[in-house]
Amino acid sequence: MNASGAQKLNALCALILGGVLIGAYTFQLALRELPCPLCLLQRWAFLGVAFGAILNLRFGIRPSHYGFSLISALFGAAISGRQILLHITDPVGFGTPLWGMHIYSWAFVAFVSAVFLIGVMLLADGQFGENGKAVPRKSIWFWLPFGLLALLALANTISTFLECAWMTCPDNPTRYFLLP
Amino acid sequence: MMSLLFLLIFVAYLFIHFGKRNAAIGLFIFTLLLTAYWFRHHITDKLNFYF
Repeated sequence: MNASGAQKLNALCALILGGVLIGAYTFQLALRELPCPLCLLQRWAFLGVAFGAILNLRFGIRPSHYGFSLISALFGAAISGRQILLHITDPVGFGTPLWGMHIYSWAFVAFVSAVFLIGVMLLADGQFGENGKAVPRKSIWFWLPFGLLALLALANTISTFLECAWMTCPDNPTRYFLLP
Repeated sequence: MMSLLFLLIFVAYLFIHFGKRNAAIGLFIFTLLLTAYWFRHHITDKLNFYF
């Protein structure tokens, strides 16, 4: 696989991660299920996994960029795994299940899948050329994933601030602190 | 103040856009450490939310 192909894959993966965060917002806005603190940390971890992909697009493919994604994915797996264990004796769990599993369980699957996929990507030596080219900023392969993820990061900033303001987020959120 | 975590990673994304790779990475690492702190803070959260 050459650098160009790898960058397109990075862009697609970043878009998929954006889709995951949009799905989280669907639960939040349509079902009015506010994210708990651990849920928010998992959202951050998804943005962290995408961070490495965006670095690959902007500055060229480098192993260190995959390293950032890997660390974020492992971190996210730890958080979602922790949330699974908190509810493992709970017959109901937290939130509405999606296709039989809670969102934190799906998040754990997603993070472990990300670790595996990053490992697969690192097998392709052809992408690590001496002259690794960045994707032009005007290219859709950069601005679409970057724009989506930056927008989602900003949206999460705003929605989290509305939910918790400057205080510690409640363990069991039921309303937005700053909204009536 | 968990919204700060998202604000910092948003700023890191902006650094990427403007070509400041080292600043983006430095800020990301800082935010990762901050997130780890919040994870430790919330690690014993017990949610009892029955629908």
